[in-house]
Amino acid sequence: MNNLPPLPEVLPNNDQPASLQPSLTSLSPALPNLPQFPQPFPTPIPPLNIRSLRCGCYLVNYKPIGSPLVTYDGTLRVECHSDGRTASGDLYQRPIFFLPFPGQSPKPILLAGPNPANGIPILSRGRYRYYLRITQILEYFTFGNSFTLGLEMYRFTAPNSWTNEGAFTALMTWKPAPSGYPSSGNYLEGDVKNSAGSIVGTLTMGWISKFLRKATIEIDRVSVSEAPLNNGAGIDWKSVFEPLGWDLTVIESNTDVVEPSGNSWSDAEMHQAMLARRDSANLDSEWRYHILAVRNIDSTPRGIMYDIDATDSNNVPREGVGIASHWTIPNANPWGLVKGVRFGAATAPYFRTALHELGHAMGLYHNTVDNGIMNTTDVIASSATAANPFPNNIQWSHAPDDQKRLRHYPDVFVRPGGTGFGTASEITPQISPTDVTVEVEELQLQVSPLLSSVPIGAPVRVNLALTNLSDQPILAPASLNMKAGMVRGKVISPDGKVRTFSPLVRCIEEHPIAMLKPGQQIRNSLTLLRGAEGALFPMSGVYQITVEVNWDIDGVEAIVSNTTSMMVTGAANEAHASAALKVLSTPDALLTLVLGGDHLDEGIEAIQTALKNPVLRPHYAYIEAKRLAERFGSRKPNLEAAAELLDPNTVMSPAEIKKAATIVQKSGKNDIPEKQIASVLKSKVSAIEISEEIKDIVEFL
Amino acid sequence: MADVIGNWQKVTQSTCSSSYPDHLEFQASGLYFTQKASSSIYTRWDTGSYEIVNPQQIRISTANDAVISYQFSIAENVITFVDPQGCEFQYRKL
Repeated sequence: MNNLPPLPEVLPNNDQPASLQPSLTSLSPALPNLPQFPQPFPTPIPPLNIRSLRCGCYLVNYKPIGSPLVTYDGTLRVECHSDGRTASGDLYQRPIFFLPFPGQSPKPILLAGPNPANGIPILSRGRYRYYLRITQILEYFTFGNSFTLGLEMYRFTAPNSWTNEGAFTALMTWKPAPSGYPSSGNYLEGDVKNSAGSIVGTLTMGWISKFLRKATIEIDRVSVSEAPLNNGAGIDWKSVFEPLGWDLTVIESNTDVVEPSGNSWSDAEMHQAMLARRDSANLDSEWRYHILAVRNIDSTPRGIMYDIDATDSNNVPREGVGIASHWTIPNANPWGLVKGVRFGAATAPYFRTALHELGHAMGLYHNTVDNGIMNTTDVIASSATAANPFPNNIQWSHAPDDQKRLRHYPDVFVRPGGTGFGTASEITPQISPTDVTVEVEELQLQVSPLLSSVPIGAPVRVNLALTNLSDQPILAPASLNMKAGMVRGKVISPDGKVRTFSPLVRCIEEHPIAMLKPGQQIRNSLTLLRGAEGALFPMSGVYQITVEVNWDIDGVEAIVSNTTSMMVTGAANEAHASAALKVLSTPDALLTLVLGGDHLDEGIEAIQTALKNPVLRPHYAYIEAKRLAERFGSRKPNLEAAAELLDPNTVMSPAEIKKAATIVQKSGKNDIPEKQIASVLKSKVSAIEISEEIKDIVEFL
Repeated sequence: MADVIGNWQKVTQSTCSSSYPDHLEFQASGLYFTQKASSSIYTRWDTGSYEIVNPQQIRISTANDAVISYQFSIAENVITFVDPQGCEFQYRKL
């Protein structure tokens, strides 16, 4: 007898609403085809719904709780790539309208938000309020109906200051879209919670475009100058910008711009011509960039983004650029195939210059990482070879980091009339993370402080050891020296503030990466004092230090990291406090530590102050000894003075011991100073855990 | 021209010179380079070309591609620049 309840009727797929059917086009291209489910039973299994976040631009709205007249509209840009999703967003405060009532005071009314049917909204610059740094998002797919969105909200205050208002999460749930959205199945809503778990607002996001951003380029020219439209070989504005997610409209407009004073233009004249001749100027409803092609430019041979500083006569930055069609390319190397050609007739480099100057208008700076758009023409030309002459060696794309900026910089950095040239930065605010880093689990990074506590004002020395735990060789950094550029980190102080450190000076190694054999270990030490935000250890208490090592393996960013903690003790007395304040508040103290030399008077003075204080002396003695023991300019190495500074109490990391031993070896002498230093080093080697390599070096002194 | 070729470290700390890079390299090819932790950091000089016009004047291409003239002088491995706004700053040869 059958006691089981009847199974529900199963709807065939074509009876389901289209919005609930999985959208194959929205799945990551990296996903494999899913296998057919076997059906051993006579009753078919209900289909599984798989959801992923569609790539493109979403219209977002954020309503904070408790403020009925405050609401924000904007965009969330979701970029799809082989490692999942990278996303960022911007919010603008919606205007309020005061509705007059006869006999009563006007009532504030919130205006309607952007119409999703109109695609990517362009909102008023003056109402820009937030950059959304997306830290968590649905990377691939889910079988459920929701995912957690993690974000940081950076509040913008003109002209260019940012405040991180904190980290938030929102459980975003798919719902049928309201009318007007082009895709009813790509709309989500969620409550936004702060880090304490309290609900602070609601967020909605609905897909509106496959593009991430939208802009217009207007090209005006004097009659004899060419319009920069393409490279003569199939690359044009759209083919450069569409892969970046930009919906670009190019308008060739005026071809009869009059030369105001001969064939060469000043920056002010180009700016004036832009104001007079452009077709439209409402940058609050359109991102319109202007290109003016003229014969020659006073201030530069090829092209210029003139709309900055004093030449920005209407105080609206980054609206326009100029290019010079009648500059003659020198008839010499390294100009390759275009030697002696008039610039406007050299279609490829002429178009490249237009792309380059527009990049400046979009907030980008020069970038020499490759021969991409934001490198300079002369650097690219000089890197050409006989086999690949200029302009064939031009790379017709932006460098990867610039591509990310064009997709994910805050609107105000990129849009014409936003913040001024020179203000765009990935650090303030922090740009959304890419998620293309791979933690290399086979490598172990050990991070440990040399001393578990140091007095305030002393640098903190940290030992690093990178070990290959696997039974296969792995490509890893050849050195953990910060100057190699692959080591950086952060320090969290007792008050919870995060301060970062990264290489101050980079030494370009010929072979920065090497095979680390199974079981092999490389070691180094860091001496930390200051970072991008100032002194790293400015108060007493317990600190957390995280060190990160990252390097490139075949285009993927590999990373290992670890964290340690240590204590900074308070001032022992007034003299110690005064010396600590001096060294912590002198930026050049770090430069002197890293570079040495005799030229940084303030840094040397700060270190001398520390040396005179008995509490800090042991921590700075080696730093000063190293400076004196190295040649600088016409001053010879002074090992005698160095030896007087060092004693068994001097605090030295293993790397510093090795460096000191190397200095003694290089002197080639065996005089009293060398013997004194060797004696100190031998006592230190016997007192701390140190590698056999360094023991051997010191032993043979 | 031979005097400017090489690596230089800025030794001036002043508000007006803060937008100039900490490190400069002038190459014999007429190109110059600077070191930055990231290409998203702005400095007035970042990479491009330079030309010594005479012993007191050098033209340097700048971050927005304008080519600007600077007064300059070299003494005892220190190069002093004065920009068009009158800001004076120095680099020491490394």
